Amino acid sequence: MSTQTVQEPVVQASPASNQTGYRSFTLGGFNFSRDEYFVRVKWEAKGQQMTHIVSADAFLRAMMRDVAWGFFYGWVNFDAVVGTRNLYGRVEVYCGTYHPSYKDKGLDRVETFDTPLVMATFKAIMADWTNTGFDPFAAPEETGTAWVGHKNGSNIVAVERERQACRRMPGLPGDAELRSDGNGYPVNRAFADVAQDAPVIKAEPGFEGEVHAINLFAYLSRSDVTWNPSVSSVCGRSLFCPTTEEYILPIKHGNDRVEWFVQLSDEIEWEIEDKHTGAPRAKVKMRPGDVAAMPADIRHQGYSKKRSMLLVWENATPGLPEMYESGKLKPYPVEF
Amino acid sequence: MAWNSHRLAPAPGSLLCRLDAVPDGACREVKYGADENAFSVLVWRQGAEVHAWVNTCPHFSLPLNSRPDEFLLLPGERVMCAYHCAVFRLHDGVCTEGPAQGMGLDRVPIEVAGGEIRVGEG
Repeated sequence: MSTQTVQEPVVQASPASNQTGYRSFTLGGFNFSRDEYFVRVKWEAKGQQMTHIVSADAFLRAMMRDVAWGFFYGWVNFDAVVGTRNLYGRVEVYCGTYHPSYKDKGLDRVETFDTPLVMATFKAIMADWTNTGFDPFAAPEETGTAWVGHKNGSNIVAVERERQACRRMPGLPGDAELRSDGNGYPVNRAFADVAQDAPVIKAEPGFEGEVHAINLFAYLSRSDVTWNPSVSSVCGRSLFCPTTEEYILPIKHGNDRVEWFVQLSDEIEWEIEDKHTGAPRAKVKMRPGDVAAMPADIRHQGYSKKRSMLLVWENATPGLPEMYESGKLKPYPVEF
Repeated sequence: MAWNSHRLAPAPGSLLCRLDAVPDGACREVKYGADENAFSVLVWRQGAEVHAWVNTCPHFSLPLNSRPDEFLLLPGERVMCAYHCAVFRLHDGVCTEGPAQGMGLDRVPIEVAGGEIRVGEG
């Protein structure tokens, strides 16, 4: 037995800046700070002070996904330099480790922390740096430029929003509710034409109450977030995570397993890169009905010019990352 | 879904483990069945207090641990799911933090006698 007991996480934060009002945060050898427009991540390498600059809105959108997804499956690259890798119980935080220009010169930094410490630090950053009126889950057109400038209040409700998950399917007794105007999920402006009717279920005698169906398009048309999949069916280790996407996926997701995409409406363009180096691998444009398998050795970022619907199908089988890492499984599900 | 509706769930009276197999303040994973569909139970002991929970996070129905018999224990008698960081109190199974708030772990009834932890009725 190897129970791992971790310490109560202690977030290392500075007092609020007299100039901007924002706090800065330290996590191991990394320092995170923000000003009116930018986030700076600093670390030391080879005796040098390294600094990486990211636009604050892009950084907040990326960190929001990392927090909401519980560090997700594999790598969450905020951009080409900074990101996290989920080791399922511990989390790697890195700068430049998966960017050859830093890595090859020894100018990267990677540290592994207990998951609760990274989660607590990231949540504290989100709480402090998200101004009133800015929702990191929303499309830019919906949330505007409230992220700009000196510290101006907060938006705790938005940043503490949890990803919706069902135990089997939404609408089943005791499971997640279906979305409606009444429970705070109006139809999104981009999906005003989506029919809201519900399936009629006619079960054979003896099976009444054992068959369930929902209008997935109607369910998705009422999603209030972008690039944040809900879990709408759980069957064994199969997770259907449909989502609505608009603008740019705020992170480059590095896969530790094969991830399937089914385009349900509109279009998404994907930039596919090598997982470890970022070298371009492919560009994929998905139209309604298209199916893609994102291999286990890539990272990907999507662009959706109009809000679109995407079904993300995850294989949550424990132990999969090790099977891909060891070569027991090939990184792609089919050979042509 | 009741905990004992799993096809490999142990019957009342089945031995979970010996009491001294669970160190004070620690957890132990007990599995019924060999493959990935095994029925897994988390047994936690704090002094004389023992609780057993179905080792399935209600968030995505994944195990709470990513490595066999290894759980992330937090101060305050809590366990964190290794996959998406939901935190549960070990004495009542309630999720207090993270993506499974409003949900809880399914309790496995137990009886402790003669230095053994056995599945109880219920």
